[in-house]
Amino acid sequence: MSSCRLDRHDVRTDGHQIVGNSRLDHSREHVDWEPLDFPVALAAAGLGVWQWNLKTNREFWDPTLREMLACDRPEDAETHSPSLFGLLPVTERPRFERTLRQAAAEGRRFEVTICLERPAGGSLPVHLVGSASAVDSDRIVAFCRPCDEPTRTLHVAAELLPRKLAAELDSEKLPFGLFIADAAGRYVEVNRAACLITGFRETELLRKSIVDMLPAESRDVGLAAFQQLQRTGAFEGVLPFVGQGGRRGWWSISAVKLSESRLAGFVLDVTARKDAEEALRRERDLYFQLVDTAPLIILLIDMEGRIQRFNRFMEELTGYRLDEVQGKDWFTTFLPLRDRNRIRDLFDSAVTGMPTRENRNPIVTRSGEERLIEWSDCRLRDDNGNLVGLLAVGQDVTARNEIEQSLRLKDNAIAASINAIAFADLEGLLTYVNPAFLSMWGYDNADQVIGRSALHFWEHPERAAEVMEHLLDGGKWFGCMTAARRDGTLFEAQLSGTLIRGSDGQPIQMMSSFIDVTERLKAEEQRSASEAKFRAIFDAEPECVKVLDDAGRLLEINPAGLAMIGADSIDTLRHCDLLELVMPEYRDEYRDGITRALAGESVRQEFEFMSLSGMRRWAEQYTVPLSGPSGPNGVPQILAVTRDTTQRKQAEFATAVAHHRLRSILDSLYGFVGVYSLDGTLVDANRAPLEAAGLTLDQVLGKPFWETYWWSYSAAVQMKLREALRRAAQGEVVRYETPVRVKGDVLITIDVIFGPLYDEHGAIVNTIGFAVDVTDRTRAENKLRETVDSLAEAQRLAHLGSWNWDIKSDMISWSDETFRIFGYEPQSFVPRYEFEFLSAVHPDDRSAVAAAVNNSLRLGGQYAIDHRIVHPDGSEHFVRELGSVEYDAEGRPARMYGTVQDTTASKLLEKQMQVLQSQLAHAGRIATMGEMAAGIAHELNQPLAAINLLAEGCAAGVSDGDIEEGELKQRLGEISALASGCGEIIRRLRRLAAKQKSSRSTVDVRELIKAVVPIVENDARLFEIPIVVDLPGEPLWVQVDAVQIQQVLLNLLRNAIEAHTDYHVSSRIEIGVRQVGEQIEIRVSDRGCGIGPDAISRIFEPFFTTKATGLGLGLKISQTITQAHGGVIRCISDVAHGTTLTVSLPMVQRSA
Amino acid sequence: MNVNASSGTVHVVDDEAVVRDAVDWTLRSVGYDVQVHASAAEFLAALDPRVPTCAIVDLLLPGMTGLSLCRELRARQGHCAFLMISGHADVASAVEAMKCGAVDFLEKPCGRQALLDAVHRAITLATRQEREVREEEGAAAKVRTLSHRELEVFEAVCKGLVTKEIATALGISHKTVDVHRSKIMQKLALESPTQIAHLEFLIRRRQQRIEALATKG
Repeated sequence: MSSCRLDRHDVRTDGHQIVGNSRLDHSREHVDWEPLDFPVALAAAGLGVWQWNLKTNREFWDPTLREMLACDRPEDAETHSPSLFGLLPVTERPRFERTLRQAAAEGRRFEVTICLERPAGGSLPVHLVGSASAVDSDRIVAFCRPCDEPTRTLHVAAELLPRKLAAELDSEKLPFGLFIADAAGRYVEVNRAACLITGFRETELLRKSIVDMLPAESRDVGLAAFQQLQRTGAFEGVLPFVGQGGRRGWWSISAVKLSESRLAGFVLDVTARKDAEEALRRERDLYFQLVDTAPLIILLIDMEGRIQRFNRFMEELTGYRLDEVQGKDWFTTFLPLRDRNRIRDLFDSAVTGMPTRENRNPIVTRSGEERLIEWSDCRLRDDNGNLVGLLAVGQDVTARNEIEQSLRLKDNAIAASINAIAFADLEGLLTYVNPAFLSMWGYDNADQVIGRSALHFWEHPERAAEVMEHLLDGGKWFGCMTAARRDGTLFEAQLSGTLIRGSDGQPIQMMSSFIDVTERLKAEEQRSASEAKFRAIFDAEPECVKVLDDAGRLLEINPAGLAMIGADSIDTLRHCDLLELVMPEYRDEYRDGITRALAGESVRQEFEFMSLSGMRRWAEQYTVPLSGPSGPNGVPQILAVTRDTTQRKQAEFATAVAHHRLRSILDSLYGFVGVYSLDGTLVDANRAPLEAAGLTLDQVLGKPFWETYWWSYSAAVQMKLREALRRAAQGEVVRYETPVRVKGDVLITIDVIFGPLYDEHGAIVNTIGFAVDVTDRTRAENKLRETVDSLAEAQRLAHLGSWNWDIKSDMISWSDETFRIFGYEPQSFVPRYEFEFLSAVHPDDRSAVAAAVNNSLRLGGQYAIDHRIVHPDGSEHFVRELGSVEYDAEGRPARMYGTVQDTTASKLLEKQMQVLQSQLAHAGRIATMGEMAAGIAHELNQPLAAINLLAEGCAAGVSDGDIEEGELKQRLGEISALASGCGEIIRRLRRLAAKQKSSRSTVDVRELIKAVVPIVENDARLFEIPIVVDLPGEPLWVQVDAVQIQQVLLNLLRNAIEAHTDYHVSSRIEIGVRQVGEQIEIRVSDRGCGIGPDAISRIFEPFFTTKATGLGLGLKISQTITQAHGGVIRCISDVAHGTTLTVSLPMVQRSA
Repeated sequence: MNVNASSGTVHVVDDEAVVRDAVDWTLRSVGYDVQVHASAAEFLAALDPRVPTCAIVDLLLPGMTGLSLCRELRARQGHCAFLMISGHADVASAVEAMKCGAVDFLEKPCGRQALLDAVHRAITLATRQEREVREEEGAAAKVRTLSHRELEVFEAVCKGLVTKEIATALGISHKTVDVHRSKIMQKLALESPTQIAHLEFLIRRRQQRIEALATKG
């Protein structure tokens, strides 16, 4: 089947034939070795061929084998076949045979090393490789070589030759090409596989030489290989080749020199493998490049934790070069001591397959700096699946972590804020709200609002949309809007919104904070209402009302007053002394009245004055000191109410003239007028009512009044009348409604009033009675009551009750709601001023309420007072009470009326607010505690150090016996003094830290400053900044919560220290105090970095800070505290000179 | 510590009068000569840098802080070994103090024995340093008296060269070398070649000290 053209001219003809098997001879045409150069090649390679027939046990040795085993004697060849079995020790033979047979049975190759005993003497270990023949399974073919030589050629031959024996050498299925070339490298013989590999046809290939197959750039390598082959007789290696059409490829070549003119080679196409390798290498290079340029740590550590490899980023980050630390322990090289054991444990569990949670830990760089790294890692396995190490990818998150922490801090601050805070994206959808927001709007948790449009939370979404547009335009927005709670109720919210921009200046989201101002607005409304009411009363008051200063000069006067004086406006009169208007004979008395009023008395006087228009008039004046807040600068003022009594005076003169007319008037009056003697006998009456009753004057005159026709129908009515007349005779005015009988036995209701009649000496001479038919009015009243009922309902809803106090009868009528406010069933009794009303007022407030009522009674006008009441069940409630007085015809107070409102709920809110504020202050204090603790520790350690040394010194002195008793006592005394000093320091700390209720006392500002400065002095010293304290010699008193004000000063001083970022010679902090008018001004100045003009307007905003670690609350808290004390905090700063903060507080006089 | 064994001057620099007095009393009771100062400036005015002393310096002083004072002291290169003491110690300050050359860092309150031990160590150190510097400077002064050629020969001898080698190296006759050698022995008041080795050791130590100061400074 072989179609190889075989060149025979150079074949060594040894005459040996492989003829061991006749069947082989028959089945194949070209089974002998002769046509090929292989025997020659084998001989050149030093290989002997051994064949053995399993069945016949015949062996065949080729000449090389014979030579090798020194059996190559012609007689042996002729006479008997040499036997390999024969050369083996007898004991080895069965095993050898078994190996061969087994290999033949299984069609495998065998490979054995056996020790032969050469006939010529001596033993020779040989290596035998072979297998059953591919064409004749009964025959074993093997190659033999002494053990001390390389065995590779042996293997190649072993692979090749059995196939050749099968004449398959030329098949394209053969995995390797075969060529034979002459000494110049020209191919003289090739097989089909070689043609396939190169792509040339056989004829083409045979015109080429080895050199032709080499690509130009590899020609040198190829020639070197060729020369090596010529020189040493063998070459193995991988070389490039150029195939048909210039196709490049790689082949692996094993070549041997058969003779001086013949070379034989086996080639294997390894292009695909080479390409794959090349691609792999490129990929690897790319990968390494990637690893080295990635801004991530890529780290490979082995199972023992030794560093195998890391990338350039790691080198740059840590400052270590890879070659410095390669092979060192990862944990001791890079981890801080405190983490080592823990992370090593984590590592151990990671490589054993336990899941690890922690993936962040710090590493230490060469310079000792720590960087926080976030790791993700995977385990590395080799091809067999064994763990070989850990590949970790790390990201430097130090900066991110710091940012996260500061964000977290701010988050917490926002979440804890009392103000509601909300964030929304640019679409207006909420992205964050704090708990205060939820409670303000009545939601339970953030999920209910996040993602919803911010417009949903307002009564008028379109208005909210405008606000949002305004924000998006880049502006801020500040103002009030009506918000709608979840349950639909509305409240007024003060909103402060701003647009948040990213670092690139682009808007990111919107933020707003909210305060519920419903209560405040209500309170403001009420206040302005009551002010307006007061003003209205003041203006509408028919009497002249004036406000005078302490010198009697006019400050205010109402229109009635102006009219009385005859002036057009107050402008010409302001600051004039009205004394000039008073007639000279009354001036002393007038001046005396003003003086007494200033001293706190209330004075009533009567005098004559001349109006500006030149008219003489009589006046009656009530003068009282103003009890309310004194005017500006605390100067006392007085209120004067002047009534024009000119007419009364004139009337007195005219009385006599008018008297005779009275009778005729009375007579024509429809109402009844009667005059009685003191015992109740009717002595006179007008005529009209008598006619209505169908009576004549004679029928009733001279009779006890109760026995007349009107009353005689009922004994009870008569009794009441008698009693009324008796009381009237004693000077009382009695009024009541009663039914009486008129003509036709009809009962009508009359309103009757009895009172005394006085003579000019003030003695009671008669009683007088009036009566009016009120039947129709009673009917109207019933109607009215219905109206009143609905009014009462309104009152109940508003928790607003009304009351009406008839002073003369001391009966108060309360509305239903008033009863409820006082804790009683509506209309369960008729309250009186002293017993029911005043006793319901809280004992502590009673005198204030009584004073307000009395004041109002004495001076007229309204009063308003907030006080507490105590319910029958003992509970305390807050009410706001308003009252007005009404006078009778004689100018005496007749009744008071007013309202009472339950303000307990809003008072409670106010109280809660105060508690929150004091908690906020406490939080601020605690925040500064950490910093102060260091200062306190320093202060405490000084005396402790001294105590320690003194005590041990005393002990040493006593045990050595060389200390005198006097000295010992002295030192022990010092120790005890120092120890109590320590106690004082601790008490001071505790006072500062204690969560005190806001308690104000009168303190000397200088003492506050003296207590605060030592706390910050240590910090200041660390920065070498001197603190200069400038205090006046005199005490300056303020009414403050000392702890809170000290905290303000601490904040300011600490800011001042932190402002000195760079030390320079002029660095100093000054703290001083002085009096400016009625204010105490505390000044803290530094010469630090100052505050820029853009920042200074924001320093009192919460969460605004210029410090890296600041919360932005210090100045806000300081401002809140200062304002709560009625003070002001101001800031002046410029970048060139530093900052001055001034706290002004109202000064008080030291109480005795 | 034995009372009689304590001698030398100790400066106490502390603005806290109570501490100052207690330390003063403690050190006096074991025989030290004590000077107290309320500020760094006061102390620097009183300090004689040539005398070996010990200073106990508070970390927080008005005006110049303890650390600044330590830097100042080191810049003056005197023989004052100093201890830092503080009632407000943190690791950073302690490290900084040791970097500045403090012998020890004591935390208030510190025990009597700890204080006495530290002072003893500091005084011993200061005295030894003063003595070493004195020796070195003495040796240097002697060497400075040599002429240029003698110095060359001296350096060669120090390197361990024999007369013949020196002659070849300097290009002079070995007889001249011998003359120089005897002159050197005479000028340096040396009696045996082993003393040359000691002298050379002192010179080298001085050199190292100066270099160390230069790099630290």
